[in-house]
Amino acid sequence: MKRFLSILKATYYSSLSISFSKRQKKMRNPFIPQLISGLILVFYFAFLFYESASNLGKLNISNQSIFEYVDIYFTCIIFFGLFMSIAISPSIYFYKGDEAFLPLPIKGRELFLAKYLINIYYSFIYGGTSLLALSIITCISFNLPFYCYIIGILASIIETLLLSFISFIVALFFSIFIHFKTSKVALSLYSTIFALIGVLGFIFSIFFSIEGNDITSIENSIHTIYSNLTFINWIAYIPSKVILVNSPIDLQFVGYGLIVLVVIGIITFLLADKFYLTSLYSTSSHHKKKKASHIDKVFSLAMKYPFLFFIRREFYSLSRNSQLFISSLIYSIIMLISGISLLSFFAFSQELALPKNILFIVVFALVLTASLQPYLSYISLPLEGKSFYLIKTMPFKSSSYIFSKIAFGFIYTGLINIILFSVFLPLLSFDIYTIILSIPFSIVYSFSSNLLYLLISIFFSHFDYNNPIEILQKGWGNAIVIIANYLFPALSLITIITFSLFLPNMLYLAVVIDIVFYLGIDILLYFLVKKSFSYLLNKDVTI
Amino acid sequence: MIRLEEISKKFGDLIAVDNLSLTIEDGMIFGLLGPNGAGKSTTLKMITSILRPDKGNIFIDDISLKDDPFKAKQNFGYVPDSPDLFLGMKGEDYLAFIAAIYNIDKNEGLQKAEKLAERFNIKDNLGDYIINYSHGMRQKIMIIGMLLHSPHNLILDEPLTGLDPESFYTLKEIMRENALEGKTVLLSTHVLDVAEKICDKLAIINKGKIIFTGTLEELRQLKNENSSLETLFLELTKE
Repeated sequence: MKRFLSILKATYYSSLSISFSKRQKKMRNPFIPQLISGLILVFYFAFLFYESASNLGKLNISNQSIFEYVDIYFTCIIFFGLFMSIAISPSIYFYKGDEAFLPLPIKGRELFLAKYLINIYYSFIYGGTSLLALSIITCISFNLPFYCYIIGILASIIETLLLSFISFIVALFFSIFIHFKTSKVALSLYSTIFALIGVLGFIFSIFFSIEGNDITSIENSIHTIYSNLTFINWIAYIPSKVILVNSPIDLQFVGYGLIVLVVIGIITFLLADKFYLTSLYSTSSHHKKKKASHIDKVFSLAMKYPFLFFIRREFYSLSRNSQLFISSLIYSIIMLISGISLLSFFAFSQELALPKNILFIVVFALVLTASLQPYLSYISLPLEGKSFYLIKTMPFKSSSYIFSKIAFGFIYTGLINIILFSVFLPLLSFDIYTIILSIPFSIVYSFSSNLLYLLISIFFSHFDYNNPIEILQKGWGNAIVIIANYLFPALSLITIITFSLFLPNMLYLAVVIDIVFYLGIDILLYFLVKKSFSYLLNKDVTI
Repeated sequence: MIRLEEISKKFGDLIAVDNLSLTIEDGMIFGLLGPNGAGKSTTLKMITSILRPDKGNIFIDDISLKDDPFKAKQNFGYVPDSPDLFLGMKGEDYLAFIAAIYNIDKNEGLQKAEKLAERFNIKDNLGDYIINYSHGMRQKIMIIGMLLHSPHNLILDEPLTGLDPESFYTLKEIMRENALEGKTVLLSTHVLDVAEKICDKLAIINKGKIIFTGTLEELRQLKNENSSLETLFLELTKE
């Protein structure tokens, strides 16, 4: 036991990669910023959930509120599942500290278990706490007896463990084939994608496996819960959306989950014992294949179109960091899918035909939130890592450097904006002026958001990390980005809401005002970013 | 020419560099020696503007690093002590990046990059990502990057670590060629044998202060001994 605790402690410190502050002369532990980021997420989801759950607490339950209830819980699980697959899969065999473990007489399962426990710790901080909060709020909303709280807590723990086990198994299975590949980055990318497919497959199999009318069964089951009678009639041994939705208060889910956990746990650790160390040895010795050089073409691009060359560099830099690359991709995909599905719902629903001015607010709120991709601009600077050392010694013109970072973020976010607007505004029969105006609006708005996140990263960047995912885990910057992420669209929405409510015939004017407003913000932020970047180039950077 | 005027740097209570003044003339290979934690790397980092001195000024070819950093930076090239940088780029991308930053003429830059890559025996690896390079190869690509824009001042922090004998020899040759062309070569090293053989002039730094500046002969005369640099160095830093 003592031996395992030592391994666990070493793994924990290697995962933290605590930075040393030269000024304060003490070790900086990222626990508090992590906890705060986790709490922000918890409170956000808890707030959303409480509203819909309280609606359900009233006697007249409508289909729409059930739809909301399921969706919020389901979204939480999806987000959490995605997080697990992104964070866990590469971390089990690509931590720098692994090389120090290899010469020691440590068994595969010991190291694997230590890593698993560390990842569970992070999972609870970043996602598990949300599920826990939802379970407790469900109990409060439905006035359930005390034992339901215990079931709810157990259910959220089981869900966390189940989702993480799936990511672990997929990554472990994939790592068996590690010695056939040459690039760690490519392997990391493939295993993340596979883990992602596994987790999503699991979640969607639950979501879609039930036969019959979902809404009716959920409605029935929630009526049953509200009446505080026996728990729902779940289909034995077949995971379903009903089970998932009721898991916070369902004793049978807990029993079912425990059985699955034990079985998967045994399989995972048997596999780990057999394959894990072999995979680690393979990752530490990779053979190199020489690739043909295209130096003349690269030089031509760099000299003729330096701006394009810098943007290309940004793309490569992100794509070489598979976890960040995948997470930014997933964020956009989720936002696009949820945005499109919700807008389609409004576009085609007969029952929910909203007035034009309200639709206008909904469209803008959704598109603005969907297009926010803070991570690209926020991570692009710290992603330089120790290379920023050398960049500081070079005669850099800050404008070209800043522009390449913003342009890369803009290509991504601006495109999402434009696609969503140009699909939905005509579909919802908005006038031509609004449709045309939405394009310049998308452009200025995307520039603003990217500039804002770059500015935050200039002040909060850390360049010392072992794993780039730490950029999103360390310091206060990430917490500020999350807050800014919700506040930034609000600035635009104030105008949109005001016009929708008081001047519904002049909606296009709201867009014009927003264009001018964000253009002003663009100019202001650009100068701020430029000035701050020059300051960063001249100040001491701890690396 | 590199000139340091009474520069100091503190980290908390620790004085890393204490009122240090030094002039490194053109046309020589200058070695900065010292035990671990003596302040060598901090001094080089201040010269290359990675760190800002708390006090004093640094001039690169008479251009103040404080007043005109952009112009001063164009006049030097730097090889850091750790070559684990720009790992996500291919070798060729890194060189093209340097060429773009320093505005080197395309044909001239390309020719020079190919020539240097051939000289350091990594021409066939330029299409690979730097992350797949060995430590020595990473060191070589950093050295090529430094030489690409033909700086007037070459600053190298522990440049010989990890190089194979052939590249070690090539780098020594390149440093000598540059010194003969009238350029300044400043290097820090732990390997006293190397310093003894290739440096025209030395500075020994201990606890943030220069305790000796001059040639090896001058050091011997000072200590009145005909010993090796190693013996003299140990004697000096013990005092």
